[in-house]
Amino acid sequence: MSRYLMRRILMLVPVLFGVTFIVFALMYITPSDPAQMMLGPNASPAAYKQMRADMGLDKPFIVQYLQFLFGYKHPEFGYKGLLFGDLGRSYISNRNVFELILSSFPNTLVLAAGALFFALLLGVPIGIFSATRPYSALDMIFTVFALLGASMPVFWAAMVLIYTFANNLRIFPAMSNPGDVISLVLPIVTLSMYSMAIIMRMTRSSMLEVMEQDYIRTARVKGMDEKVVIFKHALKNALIPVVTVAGLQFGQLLGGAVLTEKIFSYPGLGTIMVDAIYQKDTPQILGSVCFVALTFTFMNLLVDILYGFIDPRIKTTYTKKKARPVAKRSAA
Amino acid sequence: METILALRDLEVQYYSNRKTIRAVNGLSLDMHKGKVLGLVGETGAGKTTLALSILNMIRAPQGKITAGNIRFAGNDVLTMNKHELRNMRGKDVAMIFQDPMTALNPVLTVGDQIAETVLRHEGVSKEAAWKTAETMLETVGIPADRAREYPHQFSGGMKQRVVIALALACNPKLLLADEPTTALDVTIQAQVLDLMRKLIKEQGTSVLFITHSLGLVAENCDEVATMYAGEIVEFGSVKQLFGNPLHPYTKGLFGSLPDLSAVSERLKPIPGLMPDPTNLPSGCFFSPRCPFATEICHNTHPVDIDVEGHMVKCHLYTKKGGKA
Repeated sequence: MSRYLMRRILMLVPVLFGVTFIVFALMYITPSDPAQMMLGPNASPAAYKQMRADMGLDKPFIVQYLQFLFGYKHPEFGYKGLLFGDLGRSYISNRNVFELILSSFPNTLVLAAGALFFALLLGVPIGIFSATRPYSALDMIFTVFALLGASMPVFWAAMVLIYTFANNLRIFPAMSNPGDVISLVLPIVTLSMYSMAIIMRMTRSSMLEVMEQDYIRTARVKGMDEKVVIFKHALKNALIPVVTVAGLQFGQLLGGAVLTEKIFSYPGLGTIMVDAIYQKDTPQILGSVCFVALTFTFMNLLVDILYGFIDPRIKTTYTKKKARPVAKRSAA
Repeated sequence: METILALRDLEVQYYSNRKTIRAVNGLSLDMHKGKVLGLVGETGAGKTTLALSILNMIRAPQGKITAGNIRFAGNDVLTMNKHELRNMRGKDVAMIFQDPMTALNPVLTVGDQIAETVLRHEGVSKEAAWKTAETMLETVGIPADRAREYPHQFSGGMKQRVVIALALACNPKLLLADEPTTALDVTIQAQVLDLMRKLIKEQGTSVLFITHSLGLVAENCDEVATMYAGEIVEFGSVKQLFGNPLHPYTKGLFGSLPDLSAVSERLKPIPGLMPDPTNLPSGCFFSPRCPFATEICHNTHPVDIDVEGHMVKCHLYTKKGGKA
């Protein structure tokens, strides 16, 4: 198990280099110019040239990428580099990029965890229910709801919720902040809708498939109660795709709650990213995107580890085989 | 001979795309206590459907037992409620499936899969159930300490032995063995059959042995039934049926075996295919393929004819002194 973990973590290294390279390259080719940003539109060409040299922007692309990774020395614009967790200061707020990210990440985590919890809490049981009564009236109704949940744009759902519950009914506030649990309800509901729909459908189809397997027939032939057949024999087998989807959803929620956070004016990672993009705050964008990519990659690792706990066949592929004495053949 | 299972005029149908598939058609069959009954027939003859019907496991809406009745040890299986059925399944009537690769749950240990059955039916403690599971595994030649392993850690032959241990864990009165060795290679087949024979003898279990191998029937069974298009077309003791096959289909089955005493280049297969179960022929279902078919065979469905304690469903024997 620990060997497998080590291998998986080592495999993250090339992935992370690839991700940071792509993010950096994308930022490099976008037509925003940090030097111009710093100086404003009325700077003289000489000052502009000096600024580019100071910020290290006059060097070739690959050198700039290496600076980004390993650090850049300059009294004002220097930083230790991504590998050392330092991308310098934001051009706008003048705060350390990663400090800002780390201070807002817990807020996003609360939102994402709440949304995933809510999505699993309803999605999995409804999925199981639908699978045990496929094409029944209730299944149809849930299917329609899932379709709605999956196809409703987040911003629209958020606005409908705000209009109904904040504006008309005045149950929940329209603005959210992490200190106030009541104010988190609307953004969590908004965020969980899509995930819930996906998880519900995935649970349903996975359960339906598993219920057709021979070993389910075996369990029934043994006289097991239908409850045991569903929850012991079928559910564990059906969980793998559900865990995969839930993990991916969580990764997305962590990085992509952008719209929801913006609408509810919630001080999370998404808000920081959008603000950084609006203000062409290059270090902040690079830092946030790399951070999100990192969490996403770790989320996938976590899902892979979870597989092992659900399916023993996957576990044996990474646990070292124990030497076992040759099984005795009986006289039979 | 005490009858443990009696099937009368059983009809099972499956439904798909507005077509009715007539899988079992007015089948009657008796099984006797402590005997092994071989059920032979081609793929699609309805053998597995028959076995599942005995457990009342034909699931709506895909399929339905439309007529007939099934009596197991005097009780009507088709009128049992859910609870009574579950008490019967796995306890009184157990089933072994054809493919051991898919019959075991991949995420549960083999010990758990056996123990939960014992726990379900025998009203014992968890520890006792687990102990029984280990004993059963040892009976089938698997070390008890492997009870905590998962199915994928066993070979095919071992998995089938686990399935046998599972089926026999609650000492069933009737065992439905649906081609228990088809998925195994020949040497493993012999081992598994030896084991089954031994356990069946010890427990005095009656067995419905479904196969398409006549060789296995000759070796393992007391009685034989030939099944064709959802009907039993011939029934008798192994001696009767192998010594003097009456039905043209049974004869055809023997004819399609290689004969080591004769020099011949080719086997003699039965011409044609099994009839389409959505569109069975009128008259005798075998008549389109039968070399002896006459006018009456194409028009009238034959009835069971008793030829000296040997049942056959064929018009050829009506005139030969057999009574209808």
